[in-house]
Amino acid sequence: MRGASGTTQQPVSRRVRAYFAAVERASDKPVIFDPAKQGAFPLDAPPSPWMELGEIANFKRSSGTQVGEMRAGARGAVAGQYRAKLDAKVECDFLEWGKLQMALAGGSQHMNVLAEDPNAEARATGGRPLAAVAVLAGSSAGELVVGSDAAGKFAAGDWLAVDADYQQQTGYVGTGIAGAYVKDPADVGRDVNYVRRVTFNVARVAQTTESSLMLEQALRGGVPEGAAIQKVVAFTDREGGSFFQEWSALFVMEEESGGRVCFHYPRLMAAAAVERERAMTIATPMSAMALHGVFTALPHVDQNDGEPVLCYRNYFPFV
Amino acid sequence: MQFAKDSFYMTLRARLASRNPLRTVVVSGVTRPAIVVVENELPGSGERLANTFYIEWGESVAVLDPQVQRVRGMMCRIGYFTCGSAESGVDRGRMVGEMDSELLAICNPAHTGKQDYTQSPSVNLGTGMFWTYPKLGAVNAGEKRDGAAQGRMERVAEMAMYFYPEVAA
Repeated sequence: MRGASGTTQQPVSRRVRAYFAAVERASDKPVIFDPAKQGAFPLDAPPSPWMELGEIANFKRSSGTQVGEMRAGARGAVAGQYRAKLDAKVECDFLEWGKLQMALAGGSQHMNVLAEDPNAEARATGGRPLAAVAVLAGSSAGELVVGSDAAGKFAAGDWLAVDADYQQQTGYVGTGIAGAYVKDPADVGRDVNYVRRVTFNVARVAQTTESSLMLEQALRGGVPEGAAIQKVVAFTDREGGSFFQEWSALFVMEEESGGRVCFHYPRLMAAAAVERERAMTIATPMSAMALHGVFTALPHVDQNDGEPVLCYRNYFPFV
Repeated sequence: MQFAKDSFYMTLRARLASRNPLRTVVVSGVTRPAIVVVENELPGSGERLANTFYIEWGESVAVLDPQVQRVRGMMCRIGYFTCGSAESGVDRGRMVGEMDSELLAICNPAHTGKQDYTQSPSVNLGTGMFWTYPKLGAVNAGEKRDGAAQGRMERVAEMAMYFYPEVAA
């Protein structure tokens, strides 16, 4: 196919870039990618709040939407069609591991394993943690002021969970991105540390000063009121759990010729996956492990015409 | 890539010093563990020394699964020879065997952290590097050679080293 300018308009790409943003659960509001406003964004600097999650591979889209036929007349010819059981899935392998990649691939509550009191009872996602350190006034998303006594408890390279104490509330918890839904405080043992166990407000210490912790990356949710810090020693996801995370997603075929193709899924949830990880052979017997994620698209109502839509495919012709 | 080369060398050097502190070599008047990176030495620095491991970097190696895009591979060859400890050279087979054992030992575990050795102290770069186990090539007993090489017993071991480059492709 040739465009009006004579250029060949067949997209050529060698990799797909994946960007995710959390759906605002309390208001059920997805993050919308506006192709008119944001289509030409630099792929290394996605517009806020989209986050790139490193390299992905084996990107695959599929549609299970059924098309039914209405037949009429003496000969039963097709008189019309309709769509039923809207269904779309997308899958990919995350080549890099981290909190967000694990959370996306796992789909349920994603747990921060907090540094534990040595005398605590053993639990699969970590027992009673060491006491939290309060975040003091003057802190920002990139610098946590903790005072000179507390600063010595941390070191460069430490992972931190930074969020408010659990106040026995019900509903979604976690600053910035909902990490879990609490139906009854008794379900989480009224644990004052529960929010920090599930929060996405995590970051790594780049360096410490006499009274502050400088972070490698800014906290996604900033510093909430009453925030406290606990060290994270591992990340854990689980097979099971009742909570489903919900994400907006944008996949971009990095253009090398013929224009840019974007796939926008306003609402994605983790779907059943047979494979959880994939081994990619470097040289026998060494393999790199990738997180395999499969997602189901949920409907979003397009505000321009009220149609329920699972995903959008955008094409930006080569200019 | 240089950080990976340096980290590999420094790891093997430290392991050799720990396993056999007596295996040393004098290069440019300095005594050090007997493991040398050829490209780091002065050009034309002369004959290779016996009982010393010589590291040479080779061609790039493809990763089997092309989806693993960021990992880079490079061949590494480690050559060594001995003339034996006795004048007659009759123990040179045993000495090559000792060097084989040392090489296999210092290459295990077959991974290390990548460090920036251009700074002191070195800085952890946050990724690891790893390699295949050494494949010991056939021994060249030297009898077929002439001149100075006669009586040497030498071997070249090969392995593939893998690492994450400092700048993503």
